[in-house]
Amino acid sequence: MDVKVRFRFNTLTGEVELFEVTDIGTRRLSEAEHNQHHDQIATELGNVIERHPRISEVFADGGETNDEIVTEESPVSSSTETDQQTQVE
Amino acid sequence: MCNPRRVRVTLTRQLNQAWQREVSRSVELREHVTGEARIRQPLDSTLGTPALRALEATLAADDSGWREVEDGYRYEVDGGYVTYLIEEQALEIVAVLADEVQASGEGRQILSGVVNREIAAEAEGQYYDDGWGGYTQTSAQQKAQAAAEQQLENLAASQIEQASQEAETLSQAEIEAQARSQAQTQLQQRATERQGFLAEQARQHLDAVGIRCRQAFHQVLATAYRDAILAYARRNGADNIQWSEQNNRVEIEFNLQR
Repeated sequence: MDVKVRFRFNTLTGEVELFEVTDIGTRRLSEAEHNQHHDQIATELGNVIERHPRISEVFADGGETNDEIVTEESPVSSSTETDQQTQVE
Repeated sequence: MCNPRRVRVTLTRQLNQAWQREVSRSVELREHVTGEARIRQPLDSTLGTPALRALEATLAADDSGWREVEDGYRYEVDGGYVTYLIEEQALEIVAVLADEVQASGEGRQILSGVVNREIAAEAEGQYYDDGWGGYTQTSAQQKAQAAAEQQLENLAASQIEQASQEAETLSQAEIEAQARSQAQTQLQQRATERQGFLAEQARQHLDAVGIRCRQAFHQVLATAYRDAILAYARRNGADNIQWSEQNNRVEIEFNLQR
């Protein structure tokens, strides 16, 4: 499975604006295999920056699946409790 | 007129005089006081382990702008500072307000004593046997007497002054201690009051200081994220690795094969 990983972090807000894993491969895998690889890569990448990344999957135009990891807030939010979320789409 | 003659008068007096002297000393003290408000946010429950390690490496770098302190790394901002606490793996944001308080105290004592000693003075007068110019033996005797008496007066005054000066010197430390103690009590009270006020003010500034602290933290966090992600990419044989840092954004791209 070939994927492209894209990451963008805003140094002013502390927001991860984009953390995306896109399937760019030509190899045909079963849906189960595809999902398994996708989730594995997304989880590994999410774990690099997040303790408990939340993984989810979305379908892009054309039917391919993209894994997108988005942190919605800085790990140091202005509240006393951090409520950062990592989402993999 | 012939050679002048001299008449000498010697006077003694038993000086037995009480004296009293009021002595005061003032002391002014100053103290630097600070009021703080702080908030601590754990990072170990939110940041991934690779990012946390990269963060600590970033903070330790010479060019990070963060100063190593006893419990971690600190960055000063206007109105406070932020510390990354190594052991707790937490970020502590502190708003600080500082001021100076001062207080003064006065020590006062009335010193008294008695000078009891014999003092003596001697004076001379000149005269001519023929009384030339009015310098008769009688006038010489009177002048010598008067001069000796004046000397006695001066001597008595200086003896009293000396006695009171010595007493003041002996009491000086005690009077100053009294003044210092009074000043310290007042200073402590003012410092406590001021500190409470400053702490309350600091609590109100904590949000604004927190924004500045988080902005500083986001800079090192960006580097930590970048290094951790790039390390992952290289470790997993990624190719076409690209990253940039512009317009307040760090961007990374790479391809990965599994």
